[in-house]
Amino acid sequence: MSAWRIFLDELRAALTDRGVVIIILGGSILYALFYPLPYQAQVATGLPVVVVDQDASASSRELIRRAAAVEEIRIIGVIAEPREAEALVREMRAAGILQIPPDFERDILRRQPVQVGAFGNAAFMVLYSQVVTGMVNAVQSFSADIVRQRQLEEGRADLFADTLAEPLAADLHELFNPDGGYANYVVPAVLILILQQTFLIGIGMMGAGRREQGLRRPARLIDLLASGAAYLLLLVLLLGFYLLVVYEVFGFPRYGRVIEVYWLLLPFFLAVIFLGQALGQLFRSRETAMQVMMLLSLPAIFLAGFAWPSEIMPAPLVWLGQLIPSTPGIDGFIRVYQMGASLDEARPAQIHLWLLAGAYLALAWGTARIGPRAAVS
Amino acid sequence: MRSVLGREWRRFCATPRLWLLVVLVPVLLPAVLVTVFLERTPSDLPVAVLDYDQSHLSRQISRTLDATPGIRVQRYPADLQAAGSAVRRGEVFAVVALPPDLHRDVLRGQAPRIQLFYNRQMLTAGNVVMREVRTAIATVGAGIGVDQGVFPPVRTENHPLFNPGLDFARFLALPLIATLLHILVVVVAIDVTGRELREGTAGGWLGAADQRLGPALLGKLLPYFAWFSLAGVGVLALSVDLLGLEVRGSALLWLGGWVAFTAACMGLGVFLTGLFGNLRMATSVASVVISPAFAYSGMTFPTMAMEGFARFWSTVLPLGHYLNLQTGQLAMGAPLASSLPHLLWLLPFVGLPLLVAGRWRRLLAEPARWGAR
Repeated sequence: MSAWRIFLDELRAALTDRGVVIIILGGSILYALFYPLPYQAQVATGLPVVVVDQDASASSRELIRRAAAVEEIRIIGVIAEPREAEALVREMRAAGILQIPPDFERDILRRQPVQVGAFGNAAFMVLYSQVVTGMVNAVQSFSADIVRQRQLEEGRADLFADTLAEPLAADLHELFNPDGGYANYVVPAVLILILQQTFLIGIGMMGAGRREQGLRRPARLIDLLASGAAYLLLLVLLLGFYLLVVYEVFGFPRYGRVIEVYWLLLPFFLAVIFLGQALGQLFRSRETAMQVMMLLSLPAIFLAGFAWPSEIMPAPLVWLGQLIPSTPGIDGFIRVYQMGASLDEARPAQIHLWLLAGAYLALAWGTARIGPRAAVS
Repeated sequence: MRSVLGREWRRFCATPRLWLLVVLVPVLLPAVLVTVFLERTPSDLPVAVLDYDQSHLSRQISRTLDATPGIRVQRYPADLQAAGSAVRRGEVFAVVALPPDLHRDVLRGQAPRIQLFYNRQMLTAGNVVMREVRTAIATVGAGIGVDQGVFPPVRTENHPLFNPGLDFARFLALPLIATLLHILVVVVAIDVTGRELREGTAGGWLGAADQRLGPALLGKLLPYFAWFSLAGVGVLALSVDLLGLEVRGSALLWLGGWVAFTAACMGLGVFLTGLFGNLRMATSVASVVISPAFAYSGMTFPTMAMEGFARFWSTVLPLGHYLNLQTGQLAMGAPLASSLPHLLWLLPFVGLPLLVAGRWRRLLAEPARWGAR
């Protein structure tokens, strides 16, 4: 059979197999639209904060007014009893507590340094950092106003008022993810994982299905390459859908060029396809491919080391992660498309992907030649 | 029902796939996750320093940055161009640019600004670096401020409740383990029931239960329910121990919640198998429901900040309720009154298969419906 024929046959077989098409087309489109939804707000705002005002003065009320104007938080109540406030946090009715100490106003007037307590629920990382950032911003703007006031009273010019209290300070410049959005951080990586998992399932199901029907396909290299090209075509189209439609729908920022992404991810697609062909030899029933991949998605995303820098993982797990195509795939994709790295700057990920593609091609070829013996139900 | 139990035991013993899913996976995958998060103190994240001042003060700032826990000065690039490339290559997470005349301007009280460029695409690492660099600069600044007699009139003192070390990694490990186990329970519940339909053995199954649906389903699922309840309790408790967490609330409520959650997951699985009558389709749909469930659970991005459909969906899915109960009891010492609604929400899921009992009866009685793939 000619390579073209094999390619067409595989494409037709995959697209007419209801179980496979629902995963590789249905699944990869549905997940890409469904997964970003919880993060659509991007930044958590209006988190409930309770104020413990132990001073009840004009100054403390002014600070509360300031806090109410900050977008990260919203004030749900002002009480006098600290213990009551902590109970509200335990019940998840408040995310944080702003505690204004007694003698707050008196100490400000006496020009003594005053400390305001910013308590946040640190059992949840995003919640904590947002709620505390909101309170810190409110207090800083309140503090800067006092400095401004004092300068006026002393007849000095209103110069550098924000910074005079801090002789040295930093201007922050965010690179790449301008509004610090959570979806911008997580979703690009997850999209790459979705492509990998759905195609490993789909290709694995095709292989297992043939085995179930007792079909033994020729195991020449050209068979693997030509049938793999069918999935390559689908992956190329789906990536286009992600980059053009999904990115547009959710408004994810990007700094890279589409053509470079394709060039970078070509070996990623090949590695996924060949790994899928090898796994297809492993499963005795079609559903097993699905079950196994469902269980492996979560570990794969953490082994990819994007959510948590791989610097802090034990070495054997880092090595294990290096065997999964999504690890260099996600790394390279984020560098090139989200951070605008040149292909030269993403070279290590690209080389890594080509090595995996080569290794999995050898594995797929080897297992196909050995035949159906190596089956695990 | 006893004959259903015996039949299931023989089926289990003869199926390597079930051994894998039921015995090996619940140990192996949590072990991987615990290992990922076992490292207690993150090693220092690399930053680059661009020193345009080359003064006593700028060198002092570099040293302070290097000495700050969580970050280390990895590189001194020649210019901003090289520094940017180092960020894109992933060699550093941030660039600290110390402007010319920094020292002179500080002495003149002109409050110069240090420029901090940080990689916000890597949100977690980027935010850690940003916070640490700001702290280091504020420390140096406060020292100068004291010398010059200026200080901020009002400052905040941050108090991370329930997690004083801000050790978020260990706090994330347990919800992830529970999430993995919940996927596993749903997968197995669908597998053991759906496989009978697919392989056309449903007649023997119903026969062992004297043609009665209730005993057939109960006899098949009770052993797995008992096993996953116990195994889950064991794995979760062991993980808490290995990660060095302490239970601040009621361990009974937490682990009781796990048992209820296991039952809820089995209910969901049997419901889906009954609804579709097809192992593959039920597994596909289950995957759509439970694979993204962690994103909807509020453990990473807060539920309070979700919008529209996401907010609704996050309150419907059982996972978020169990994880909130777990975090409440484990980390926060939440009162019973705030955890109870989560526990109660899980219970209707156990009864979910009743909605499709009629379909189940037909599925088991009519061989024409078997064998769908």
